[in-house]
Amino acid sequence: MNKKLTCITCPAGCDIEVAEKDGEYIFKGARCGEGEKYALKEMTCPERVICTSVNIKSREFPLVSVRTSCPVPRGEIFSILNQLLDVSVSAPVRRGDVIVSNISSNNADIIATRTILN
Amino acid sequence: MKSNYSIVIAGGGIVGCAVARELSKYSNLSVTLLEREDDVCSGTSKANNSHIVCGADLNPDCPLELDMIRRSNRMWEQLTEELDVEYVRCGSYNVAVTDDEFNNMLPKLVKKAESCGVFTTRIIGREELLKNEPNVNPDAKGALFVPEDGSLLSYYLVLALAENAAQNGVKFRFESEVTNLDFNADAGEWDVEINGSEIIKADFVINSAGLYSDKVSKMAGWDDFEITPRKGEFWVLDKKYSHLVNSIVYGVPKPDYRGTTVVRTRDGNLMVGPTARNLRDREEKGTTASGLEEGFEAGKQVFPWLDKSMTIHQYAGLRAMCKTNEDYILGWHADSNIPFINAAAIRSTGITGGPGISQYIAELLSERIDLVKNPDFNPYRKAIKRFETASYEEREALIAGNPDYGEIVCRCQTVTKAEIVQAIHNPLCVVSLDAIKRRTKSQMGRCHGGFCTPRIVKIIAEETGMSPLEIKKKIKGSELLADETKNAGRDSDAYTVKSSVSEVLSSLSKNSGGR
Amino acid sequence: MNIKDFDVIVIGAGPAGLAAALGAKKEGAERVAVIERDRYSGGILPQCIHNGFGLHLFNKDLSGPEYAEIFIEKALESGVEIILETMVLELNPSAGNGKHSVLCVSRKSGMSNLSAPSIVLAMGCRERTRGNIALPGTRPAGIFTAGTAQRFTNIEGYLPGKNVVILGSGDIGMIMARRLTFEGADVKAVVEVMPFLGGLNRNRVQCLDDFDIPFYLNHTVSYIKGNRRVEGVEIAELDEERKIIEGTRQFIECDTLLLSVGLIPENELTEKGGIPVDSLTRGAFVDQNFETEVDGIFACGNVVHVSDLVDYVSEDGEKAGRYAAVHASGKRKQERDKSIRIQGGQNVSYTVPQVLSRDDAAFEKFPVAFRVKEPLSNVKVVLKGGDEVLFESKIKKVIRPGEMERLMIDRSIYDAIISSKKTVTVEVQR
Repeated sequence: MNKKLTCITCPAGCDIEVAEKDGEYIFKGARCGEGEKYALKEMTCPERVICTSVNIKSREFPLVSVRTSCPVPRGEIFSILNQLLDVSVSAPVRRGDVIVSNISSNNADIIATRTILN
Repeated sequence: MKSNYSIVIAGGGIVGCAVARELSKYSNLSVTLLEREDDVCSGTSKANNSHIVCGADLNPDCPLELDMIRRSNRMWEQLTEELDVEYVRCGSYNVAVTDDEFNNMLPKLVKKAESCGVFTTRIIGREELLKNEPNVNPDAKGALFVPEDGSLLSYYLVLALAENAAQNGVKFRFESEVTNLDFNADAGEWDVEINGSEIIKADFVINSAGLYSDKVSKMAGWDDFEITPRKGEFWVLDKKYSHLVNSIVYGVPKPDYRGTTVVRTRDGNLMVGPTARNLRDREEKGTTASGLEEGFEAGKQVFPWLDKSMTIHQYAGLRAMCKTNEDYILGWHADSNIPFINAAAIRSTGITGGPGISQYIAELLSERIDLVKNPDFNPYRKAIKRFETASYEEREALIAGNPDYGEIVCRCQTVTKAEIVQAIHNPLCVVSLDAIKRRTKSQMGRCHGGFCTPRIVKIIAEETGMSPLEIKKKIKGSELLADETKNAGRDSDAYTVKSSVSEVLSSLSKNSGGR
Repeated sequence: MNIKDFDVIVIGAGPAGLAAALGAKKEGAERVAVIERDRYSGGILPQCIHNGFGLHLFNKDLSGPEYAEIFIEKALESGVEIILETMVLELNPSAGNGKHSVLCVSRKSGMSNLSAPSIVLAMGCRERTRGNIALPGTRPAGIFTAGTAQRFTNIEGYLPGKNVVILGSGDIGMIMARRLTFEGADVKAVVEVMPFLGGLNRNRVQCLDDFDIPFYLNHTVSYIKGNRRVEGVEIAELDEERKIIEGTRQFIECDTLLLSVGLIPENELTEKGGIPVDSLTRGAFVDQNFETEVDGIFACGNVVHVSDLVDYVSEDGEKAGRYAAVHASGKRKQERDKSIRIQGGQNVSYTVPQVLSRDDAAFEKFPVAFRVKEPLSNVKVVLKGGDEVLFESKIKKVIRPGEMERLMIDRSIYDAIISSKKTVTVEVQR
């Protein structure tokens, strides 16, 4: 059975066709190697970077933006978001600070993406 | 015999607010205005094209309307000066684009104006028209010029009347709908029921409920007329095109309405509209695709360069029409024992007729009771000082006096924080985004609140202590925001740094469900 | 009145403005100021908390705030003066002494007049509104542009609504569909008027498809219902002329309508300053160095034309800043031949630059950015000088309107253009 994917690695958004032959995937349409890597991942265990925010005690902002330090399994998105609902940090927070460590099955951290000093 | 009287005005549009202000000139009247929406000028009065007519195109068979508008016509200069409302007698044009219109229609319009008592209109040729309105349809043959016509922003006038009335002691109650009227003949008093529960007493009731005035009238036993809505739809153009039109320009009128016009408002926006469609449902307040199309096409008859890409906004208004009565329904209840005055079926001439009506209603009252002049009546009301229109020196002085004048909140209309804060603390105590819009002109520019709304929400929260979740666009039920984004809640003193990052991290609970 | 002199003044501390300031510093300008109306720098980026930024420039997958901070830090380190919470009210070209000036206002300094030989316009863009597209219906609470909803959600911490319909499949619209889903809202539908996606394809995959959000092409919102809060919207299918097909109207209950229906370069200052603006891009006409038709006034980023990638905005900004510094230094040849124009031809809606200025001595290769009017497959990009073909690209599998194309002009193409002396046209041919 053939499947069509759109690569999300970069804005080019290549359409990749996936065929399965003898238990192996064959990919057509990716304009670079990253596309094939993406397609293989998407067929076996799709992953996404999660970007959201958590509460911060700060004079400037109620929220600090965060993301996973690397792509995490797509199926874990909502359990990770749930874990972050009650998280609250206090300023100062710097870009790259680990807010929650080891949050996903592939050991991603939640890191701050904005510096809030006060 | 009584010497002090309580008066209830039902409805806070132009008529109700003009009457409230007029009656605040008398010290023996205690006046309460009831309005079902959260602010004055929330119905028909806010949705019009700001054209102040002198009476040239009225129906000579409607003596009341004609009388009221001719009264108002003598009042504008003084009234708008007292109330600090920008007004200009810019004149209006009915442009003829065919020879038939020029040779046959325009002379009829002059005759009609004369039968309405307006003798200043004249037919002008193409050259004079183009001198005054150079961007008009190049096919134009000439126009009827009505020099006494003028322009002001209706919501500014209504707000000013209401604020001045409030300064002089009139009580305004919002989200307060009159649900029943019961006249107790023995006591000579009304029981006015509000929102189906509370009762207040009144010696006189004045009905200025606009689209709902037949319902209020019925409550007082005067039930021989019905109000039906007639929708008008408008387009608003970006200010950058304001130089293309100088005044108020119509085509030649249609048999049953004045026609579509293009107006340059006192705000500097061009406005195209209105249309006229009869409806049954008074709650049907939205614009329609076909109505908007029709209005815009009509505007293009006069200014063919009009293009939809120039527009920033559309809106619709409902005029209060009465099928059985062409004239205003204005006067005392037929039963002279019942102290009730109607000001109903005001149709599309309320803004223009309002000041005259208020004067007339005071005269009606004086037929039955002695009105005692209030020596402390202050006719003057100051508008919020605007930064945008201030001179360079004024701006420096404004900021020196109040640094909030140096903080631009609405970029499109150049409205400062100082103006927003003054609007929040307005004399009528109305706090909503639309209330601030109509008092400052914020949120009505080309980005239509996209930039300033979050900022205004913040300022309201700071000034009033309200939670952003309580802030409404207009009446109850129009809250802007649905919820906070996280579970933890955001207490207002969350701004003190309570613990270090690591402390917070170590106390994290990882399994907090709830989604 | 505060009067201050600079070498280069940049209006706007978003990605374009920050890069321009850095570019100016790199080129040796000493006094570089960036004027920003918000209380923080970064422009729209701090509220764009999603990832996908920096792939082209840093080969990293960053979020908006991270990308912005990198530039803010660099700018501050290099000695750029960022003037926050200050609004520019007027741009006055040729204010005297070979200088341009801006009139601005702030709480702290009141009215100020800042002047410099070079000014870089980097005001960005704003969102099209309901009024711009004449969407019929009532006017209740609950109608937001996607960017305003994004600010409430990501900066202020408030959810604009719980049951949401989104009109327009621009990138911000799709990204907000995912964002609001993350925050617990139910996105009932994303509705696109055109027969193709408005934004990037990958955003459809990771923002809509991942969460099974219904997506309707060839549909519009035909009516908004509700007097206090939005109660729902009517959507309808459109025929090829973008007219509603009767019988396809359906009502979707919702409390919120988000609009992601396009961005407009914010050029009110530019226009009031008398700088010529292209009716196609709605940004100033610029040459390959991002100089407008007024010498010493440059423009870069979304104020010139709306980009879909911030990386390109930064690249363009840096270049504009460098040339602004060169102009300020007085070292550049003052008379430039700007007679050669570049324009979009077949299938191409616009180009940037629109003007080619001749500066043979200091040539560096530059991109011509353009967009196609509709998605096309198996096409080539052709550059013509008059009728003569100057360059032809290889066959491209697909070009979409949502993705900006860039054609690099190297020395040999440049020389061919110069010798042809004709208006240059960019075409996309099947």
